[in-house]
Amino acid sequence: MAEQQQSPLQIEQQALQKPLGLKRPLSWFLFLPILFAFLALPLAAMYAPHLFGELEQPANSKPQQVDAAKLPPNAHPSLQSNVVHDTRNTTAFALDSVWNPGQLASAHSNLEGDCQACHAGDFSRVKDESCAVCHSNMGLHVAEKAAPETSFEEGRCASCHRDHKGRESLAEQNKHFVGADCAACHTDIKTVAPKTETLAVRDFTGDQHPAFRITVATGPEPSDLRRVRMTANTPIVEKTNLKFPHDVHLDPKGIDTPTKKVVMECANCHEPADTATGFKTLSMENHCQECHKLGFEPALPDRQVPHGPVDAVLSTVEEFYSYLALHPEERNKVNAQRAVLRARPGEKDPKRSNLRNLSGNPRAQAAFATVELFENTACAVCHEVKAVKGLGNTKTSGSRLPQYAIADINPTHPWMPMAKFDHKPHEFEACESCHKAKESEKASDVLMPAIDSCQACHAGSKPALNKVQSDCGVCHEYHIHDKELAKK
Amino acid sequence: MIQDNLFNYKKFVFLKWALLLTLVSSFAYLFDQPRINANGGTWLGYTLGTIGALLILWLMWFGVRKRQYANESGNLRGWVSAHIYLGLALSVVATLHSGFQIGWNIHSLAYVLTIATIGTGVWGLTFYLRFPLEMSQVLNRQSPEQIVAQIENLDREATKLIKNSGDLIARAVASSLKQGVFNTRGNQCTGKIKNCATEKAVNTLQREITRSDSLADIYKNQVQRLRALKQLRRYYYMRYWLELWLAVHVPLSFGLLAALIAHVLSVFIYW
Repeated sequence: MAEQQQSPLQIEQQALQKPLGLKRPLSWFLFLPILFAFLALPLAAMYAPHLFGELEQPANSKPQQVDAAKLPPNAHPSLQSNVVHDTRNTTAFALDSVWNPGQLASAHSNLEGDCQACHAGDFSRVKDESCAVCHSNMGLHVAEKAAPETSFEEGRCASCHRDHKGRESLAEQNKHFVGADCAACHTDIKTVAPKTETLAVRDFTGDQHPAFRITVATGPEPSDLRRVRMTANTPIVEKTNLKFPHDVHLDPKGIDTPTKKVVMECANCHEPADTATGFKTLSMENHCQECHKLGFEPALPDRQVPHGPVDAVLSTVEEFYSYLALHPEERNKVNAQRAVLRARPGEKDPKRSNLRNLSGNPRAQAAFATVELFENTACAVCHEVKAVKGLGNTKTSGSRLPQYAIADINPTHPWMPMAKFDHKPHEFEACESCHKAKESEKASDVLMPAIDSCQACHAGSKPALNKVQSDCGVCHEYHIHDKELAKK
Repeated sequence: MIQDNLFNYKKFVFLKWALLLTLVSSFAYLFDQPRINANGGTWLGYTLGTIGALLILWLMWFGVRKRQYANESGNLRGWVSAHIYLGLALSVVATLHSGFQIGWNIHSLAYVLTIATIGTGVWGLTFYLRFPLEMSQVLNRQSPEQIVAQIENLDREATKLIKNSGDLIARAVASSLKQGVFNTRGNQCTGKIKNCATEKAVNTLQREITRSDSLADIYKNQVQRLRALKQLRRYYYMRYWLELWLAVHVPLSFGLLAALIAHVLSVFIYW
């Protein structure tokens, strides 16, 4: 160029005048690596795992069926199907975990490196099938035959169960969904499901919730269970075939036992346990027999019949008196004891006056003892006992004695099988504050509290003074896991 | 001020829009009661996210628009004003979209880059408020080239003036003549240099001038040289920062664009 020689100052000034020229290279420097690391790499790992030396899914990628016997006895019903033994393979080097917006719930935390366990990766939302891989036994909200006209068809598992919200369990988290969302349909449930027996409910407070329905047994079979709605002043009665006056046993003055007077408490019989009813099953042997002995020979009060089948009882009685007939020295001991018990002159105890020395036909003695046992002293005290004509079980020795039929006891069952009620958090309350057992004369009384009893402490979804704010999820479960219940 | 500036453009029209957007977003956030927690996946989250993404694209389009000298859609001052106010509003929209959640993932990276870009924008704005006016004042209606030419004239004059000077003066002025605007490129950050030879020459002459009146011309010459150098130093200092903040702001916004693409795509790939 023909320009004259530039001075150093001119050169410096021209250099200063030039733009820094950093914007473009720096922009590429940030744009490309970010796009590469956070989009290209995860995509490559998803769609071309072989680039990273990853093999196809191994054989154990599918969840394995777990033997029901290996599950804990109280495992949640939704779990009693497929349990994933092992986490599937993660995406190559878990490169897509940079997309993870937050921690998975604790039960899902083993899937944190395995996005595609739930996400198909094709711009589709998480599908129910992904959930059902493990939760195949998850109950629906309503029985299938009642469902068709409801809006539940559109709901996905993930409409309510939103993961990536931290380690808090999804079940806990979903208490956020109950309340207003339940009321959306249940306030006017007949419109949504015209055939339903469920009554409209808006909240738990006041008269916005209908009276409870109690599941009562009409017979000994599980199919004999019926739901009966409580009404305010008529207590629900359930046929139990048992005679048991709570009021007598809970007499505050105490009741006689073989040794002393005892004031009984509820917990003497009703021991809390992790069962469907929340209590251990009562048994004659453990809870009644200490007082209600099954003796049949007045002279030997500790000699008892088994609390079992009628033929076993009759055989014991028959064999006892036959044995005495064959062993005079034993019979004499019994007679001596009978003489001690026999009524003295002036005493008018009919039981004692009947006591005579044993002699002659042992079967007649056995028959007499049988009638006393079944009709007066033992069986009929608690059971519905009916005399039956004819022979008994001819394979047993008591077949020729008078025969009896004992009505089956309807087995214990939860009165509110759908309710999430736990006695444990209520243990600071006295039993009587909900269950009026001291006033109950018959075993057929269903001693369940009415809704106002609950409402004394539980407010609805809105906070109230001195009450526990309680939305639907406090007592109700959304899914019906019990297949039998779901059918009804 | 009579004339519209970046802030009061058309009676703060864009400030009003930005405030409206901020208030509407904030009230929606306050009154929305998401079932679990606030996050980008609720209906409000998606709405705020869409607004935020569109804002980011529009704000970045400003970089294109300012180069389109023929484009007459609005005037450039209006665009800058809108860029500032809506950019600030974006910080609110993006924060609400995040639901105040942050983690080690692409979504938070996009958020952090958004806030960093807005932050550097505010930083750059502090330069824009002070420097352009001062830059025209400091040059005093001259161009840098004219000032350089002026220095060169002064230097030619000085070369003649020191011919008869003593050794001390001659050496001081000779090294002064070699003194450029900055000693190193790094001096541009501060606009000041250590050991300025011209400044030393002025100091030396100031001491010597009491002994000899004949130094008055060369003293005046060197004072003028120093003043011109200082003009250039201040000018290029301001120019440097006006460029440098953009060299941070713009690359950050491109990093944000990449993170935004990855954020939006990943959210819907794994919906």
